[in-house]
Amino acid sequence: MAKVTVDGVEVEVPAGTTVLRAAKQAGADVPVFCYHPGLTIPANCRMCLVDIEKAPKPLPACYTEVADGMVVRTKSDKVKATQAAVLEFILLNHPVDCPVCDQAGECVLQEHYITYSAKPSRLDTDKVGKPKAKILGPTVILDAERCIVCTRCVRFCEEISKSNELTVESRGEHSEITTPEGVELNNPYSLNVVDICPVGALTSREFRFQKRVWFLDMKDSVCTGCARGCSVRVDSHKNKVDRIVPRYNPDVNNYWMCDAGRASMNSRRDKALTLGVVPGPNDTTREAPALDGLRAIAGWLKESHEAVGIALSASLTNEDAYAWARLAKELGAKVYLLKRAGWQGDAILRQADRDANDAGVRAILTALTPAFGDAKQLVKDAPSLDTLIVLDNEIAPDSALVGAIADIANVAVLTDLAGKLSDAATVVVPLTQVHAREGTVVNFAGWVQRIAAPLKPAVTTVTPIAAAANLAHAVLGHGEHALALDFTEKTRAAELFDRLAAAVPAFAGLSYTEIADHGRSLPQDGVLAPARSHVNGTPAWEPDPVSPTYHRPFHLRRGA
Amino acid sequence: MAKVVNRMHPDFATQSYVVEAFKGVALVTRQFARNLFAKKDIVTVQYPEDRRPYTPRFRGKHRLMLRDDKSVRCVACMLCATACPANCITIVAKEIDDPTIEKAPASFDIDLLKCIYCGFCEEACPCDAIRLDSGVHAIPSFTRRDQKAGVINLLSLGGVSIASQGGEHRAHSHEGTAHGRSSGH
Repeated sequence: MAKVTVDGVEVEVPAGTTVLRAAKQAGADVPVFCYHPGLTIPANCRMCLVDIEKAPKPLPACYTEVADGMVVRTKSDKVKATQAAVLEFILLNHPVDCPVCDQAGECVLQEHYITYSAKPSRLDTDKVGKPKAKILGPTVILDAERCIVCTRCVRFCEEISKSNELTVESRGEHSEITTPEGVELNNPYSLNVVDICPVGALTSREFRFQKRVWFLDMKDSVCTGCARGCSVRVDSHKNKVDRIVPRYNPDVNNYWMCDAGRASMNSRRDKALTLGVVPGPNDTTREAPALDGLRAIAGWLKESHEAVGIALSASLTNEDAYAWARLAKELGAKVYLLKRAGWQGDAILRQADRDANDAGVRAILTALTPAFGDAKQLVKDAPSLDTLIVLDNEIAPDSALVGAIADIANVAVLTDLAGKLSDAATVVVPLTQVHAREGTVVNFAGWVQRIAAPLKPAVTTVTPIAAAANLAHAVLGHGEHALALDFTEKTRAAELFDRLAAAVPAFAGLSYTEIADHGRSLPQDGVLAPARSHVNGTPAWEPDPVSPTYHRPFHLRRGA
Repeated sequence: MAKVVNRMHPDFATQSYVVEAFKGVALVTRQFARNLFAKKDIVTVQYPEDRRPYTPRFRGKHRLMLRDDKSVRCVACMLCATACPANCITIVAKEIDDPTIEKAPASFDIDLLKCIYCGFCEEACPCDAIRLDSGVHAIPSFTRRDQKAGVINLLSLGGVSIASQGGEHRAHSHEGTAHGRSSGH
């Protein structure tokens, strides 16, 4: 341990800690550009220069390790002059085209300029011109003039994606980020360079010119693209999701997420069902809101609920799976667990299993309806079923399954996206779209996280919880089962999770509020690991000092 | 606190109104005769044939300014939409080929029914692209839809802007824009 004094505040940090982190612990903000906690430290931007006693000149805080008895000043006149000089140097050839720059509003250069310099340029010759709007690959576009050559992107491609596509060309003010001849920036994690770029040099082609960032409503959520369940921030405006960016979570995804996870939002945008299908008179069908569809299903179940199958997707949230497992138990229905088609996993983040909540749904079904089958079992059982209810049809497009389902008399699909199964169904009930449904999911390693609902649900749709409650009431409402369910149409995911935790041993001891933004581990062998805030005696879990969440527009950070 | 009001106490001659009525008729007749023959101080304007000139500071219907090459000056930075307290501006951006400008509005809509003509948009605009100085008064219409001023509508009041290009570089000057040459918008 080393005792360090930063701006008069003494802190004790382990030996080997950098001055930057010690300063953060002492409550001093040291500005950085090139330093990123998830990458190696090059100390090339010189923005973090601080005054260290007995050192002849300012030293980079990000790279210098602490020594016992070190006295650091981050706000002395010398440091202030250094910071202003560094900013003037960095801004010398910067085009200052903030009005057309997508980064404006979450630009570290803008923020540091306002905070540490705010001085006019003294340059009276022409600026160095460089390529603008240069396409680097399928996802990323480069504006070389805006680049401050911090090399975060180069280091990302070397150290994290290990694809080595980016490099720095030329020297001095002619330095330019580029790809080698014939190579394009094309890897499954390429959009992370956009997140870590402190300025508007690298921007997303998808998000380009779509929205000014200060309009975005930012909600912490979870990516449901695969079993990893990366912590993400969902940015939406006017009830539309505009982008998904990773959120720092040391237990799941660190600072990164894959491009496919971000693209999952595009595959859903504007495609959410608002109207379903119900049979009309004389073998016709008509479009109908969710309640009409549920009434039709309730009609079948009232006639007979002897041979009923309920097929649940492994991408459902815990609460939705719990509600439907309870309903299936009360109805005496057979339960099947359907999987999405897998994809190629990798050693960085992507899991081969694409279902966001396989572990959670399995745990719940094991506890409530232990005799659940899989898709193969469903194909086998299909001839003996009168009614089949499928929840969420984003599953493997298996022709055997579609064929088997065609033979069942009554098939209902509850979904937010049209698909092969919903095309074959007699009744389609529109579910509330994914980003408008709260809940929790468990990733492949047993980490429980909360999904946020930044969007407003369409009034003609219904959540799976409400659908289960509605059916239970319609079918079982007046009999001996009348009070068997512990939820109603109005029950929110937060309440239901706590009841689920009491009913399912795999979730014992967890509560919705304690999961918080960061998530918690499922109990292992009945023992619940302490929340992150108590791990290793750290006083409280807090986001890394310079994590991407730092890149928030000022008006959203005020008072935070 | 109570306040003492000094009431007038007109005498009998005034209260009878005989004299006062004639005084009034005399005043009107004098004014009428003066306006008829001398035409001096008529207050009434023969609207709509005659119209009062508005002050130059009058904020009327918006117009979108043009560059010298007749393209729209707006770069769809949305600062007007951000500053707008009535949330009446909707801009959709698009990419254009000119690498020094990059961005232009694909559509620029102002809901004139929501607009309160406060002028914040022209103050926020870094490109001098939007102005409320057209002198055109809010125009009534028969439908709500007609009150949505689209880009064509806004450009029809435009014309080549005489303003200098935003962020013009002034050598040896330590005032004005912070960082010299902008990319020409």
